[in-house]
Amino acid sequence: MLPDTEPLAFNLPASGASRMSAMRTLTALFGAPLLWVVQMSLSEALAAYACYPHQAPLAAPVWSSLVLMLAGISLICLIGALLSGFTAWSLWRQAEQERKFPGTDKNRLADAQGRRRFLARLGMMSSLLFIIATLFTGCAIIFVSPCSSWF
Amino acid sequence: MNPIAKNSSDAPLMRVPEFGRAPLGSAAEKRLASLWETLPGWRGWLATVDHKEIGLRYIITAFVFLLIGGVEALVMRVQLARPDQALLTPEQYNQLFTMHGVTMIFLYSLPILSGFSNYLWPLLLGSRDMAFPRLNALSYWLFLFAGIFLYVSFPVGQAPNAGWFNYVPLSSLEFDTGPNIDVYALGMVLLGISTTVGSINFVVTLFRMRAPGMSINRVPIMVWGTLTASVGNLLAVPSVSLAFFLLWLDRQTGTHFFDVSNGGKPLLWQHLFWMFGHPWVYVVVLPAMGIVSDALPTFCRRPLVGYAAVALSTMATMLLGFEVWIHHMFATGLPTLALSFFGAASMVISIPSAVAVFAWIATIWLGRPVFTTPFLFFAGFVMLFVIGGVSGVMTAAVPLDFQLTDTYFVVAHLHYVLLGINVFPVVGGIYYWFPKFFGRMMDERLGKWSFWVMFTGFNIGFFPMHIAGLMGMPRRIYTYSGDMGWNTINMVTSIGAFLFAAGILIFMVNALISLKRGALAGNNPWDAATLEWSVSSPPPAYNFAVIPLIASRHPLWENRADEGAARSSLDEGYLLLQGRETLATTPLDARPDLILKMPDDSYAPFFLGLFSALMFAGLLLQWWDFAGLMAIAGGIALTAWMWPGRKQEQSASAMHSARDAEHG
Repeated sequence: MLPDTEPLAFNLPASGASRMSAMRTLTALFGAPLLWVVQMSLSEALAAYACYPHQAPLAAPVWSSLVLMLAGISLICLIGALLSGFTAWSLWRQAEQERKFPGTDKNRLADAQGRRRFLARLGMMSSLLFIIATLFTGCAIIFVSPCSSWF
Repeated sequence: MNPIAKNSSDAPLMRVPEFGRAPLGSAAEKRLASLWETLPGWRGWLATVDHKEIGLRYIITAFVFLLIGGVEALVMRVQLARPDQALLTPEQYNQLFTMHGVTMIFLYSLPILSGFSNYLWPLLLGSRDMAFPRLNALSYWLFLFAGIFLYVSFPVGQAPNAGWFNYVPLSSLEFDTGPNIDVYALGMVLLGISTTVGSINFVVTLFRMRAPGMSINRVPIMVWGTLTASVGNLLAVPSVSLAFFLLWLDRQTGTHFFDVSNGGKPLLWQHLFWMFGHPWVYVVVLPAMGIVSDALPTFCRRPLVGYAAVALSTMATMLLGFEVWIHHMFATGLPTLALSFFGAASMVISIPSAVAVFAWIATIWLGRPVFTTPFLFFAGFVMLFVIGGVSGVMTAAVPLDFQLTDTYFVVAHLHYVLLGINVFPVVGGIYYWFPKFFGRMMDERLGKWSFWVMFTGFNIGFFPMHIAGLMGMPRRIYTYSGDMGWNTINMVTSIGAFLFAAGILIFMVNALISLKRGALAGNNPWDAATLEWSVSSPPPAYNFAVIPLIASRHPLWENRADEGAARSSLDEGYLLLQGRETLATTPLDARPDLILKMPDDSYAPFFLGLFSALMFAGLLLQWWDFAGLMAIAGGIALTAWMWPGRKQEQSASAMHSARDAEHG
């Protein structure tokens, strides 16, 4: 049964009601993944070049501070990922507040809130997963010496 | 306020769409049918842009390729069933295993999922078509022609023969002087165009073609799977197209991209190939996982557990999949730390994969499972997914991978992944959507037989390969000596492979019988929740007589699931009868935005695909003038395609102004 309203307004998430800025949402969703990609790409390229710069593998990296460089990259990326996670968490709290205290126009806001909660939840899960991924990748620096042999 | 009056400068392009009903047999419904139906006969067959027709063509063509690849596999299993067999020469075996891989990975596994998505997306999303119907048709024709192109040299014994990942220098001119590799290289570039245009279509369709109210948190999981795969394709396919193009240049024009004796880098091939290759693995499984996530709940009589978590795990798996390609190169001599980063990343993939697995298990556990044939295939898939996933995590450990590289363990792993996570969901999906495709149910008894024979045959066939690999049997050997200790295990594997093929045969017999004699299906024979089941089976040419208004994630279960108080409007909605029209909505919230004038049927996609394929044939045969001529012919086809028609003149609606009016 359709409500007695003008069709365009029927049951559509409200426009302009969102207090979640696009930038914060994007940070929550993609901040940690992006930083993990940065960590992987830089770490891989530096580690590979440092131990195998030209035609033959080396016993030690070309830069003596390679491990420090890699650790620094991982640390910066981890901090960034944690901040991204914090952004996601704060968005989630905000969305929960909106759900508990929806204001006067409950029906009109219900769907927009659903979408915001969904994106905030995705942001939290995305941040958590890629914080773990950043930690995992960083662990490689601790457990494996740069130019050693597996055998 | 009258919404039109607010923005008078756009008046010639403004129109508020009519809102109402168009029941079957009404004048409005008849007009819609006349607008959207394809002409009968061969002209309509060549010119159609109906996404349902294109989807079915994709599914049938890809299934034919599956059968071809399957027969190749069976011939190889006869050869390997016993030691010292001489059914095949080494060169024939090389071509067979290469074409088996190329066929299954490129011509079956993604195209069949594209078929599902093409058929189902507009129906799932509440639209009348995909965003770019002609691009859709072009994507299919290019796929078909690329498939034929890749097989064109097979009958004369000159098929690709360096394995599906085609490593240099084996595939360089120095070691492979025939046309074999050129066919593969050019065929892959051609197929890459098909994949790319198809992917663009899916991405735009998701963000612009959803029914009003289907905000981003209400999209079916299958759509998330195909969207993720499509974005992945757009980033991954350029890498492999470039690799094959460079290889073709090396072979035909004397460049040295991969030629080590002239400063080229063989490892560059591996990087470019696997930058594409590993994401591709997820491209061919994520939409299939989406099929399960959408269809399994129907048979559990409850919504999927953890919708957001499964959606996120789908996207995260794809992203992680872009940074793990070096785990295919652990044995190439790269520095240890560089390998370890990729080993760690490869293990992280188990997290989102496990999230999805637990969501499916929880859905079964918390639901009331109905043990129909599709359910058996989906439940079987979950088990095979776990086995394939665990063997994948094992090979993510660099030291173990050193031992397992190029053994049958890897063959077992990849078959558990590709058959388990693609073929089982696909066959289950066909059982599930067959009533929607053809209006008839498939036979349940034959269906259960097909599942148990396939499932048993699959595990008898492929599980022992793990053991063969651990016993040291290398992959891609055309025969082996009787005293290697691999005799029994290979015989068992071959028996399992034939049993699996028998299961596929039962499935095909079932499909053919059911097409003629299956019980008639109503609109919603499974009592499912998603929009495609709200229309007739098979659906009318226009899909939805009115563009529906969506209020929840499960529009057909709103009265029983915990979906809130709002109700979707499926019988009353936007009529859009002035030509082939559908509604464009905003990307996140799916607010009405534009009326889209959709193109009519056209021969242009067929001819553009044909001329493109002929141009590549000219390049293969080094008929440069012919290739140039075909390029010009393709340009003419493209011009005809793009030629503006009066029917497309009105392209904007009053939706913008209506929304502005609504929100002040």
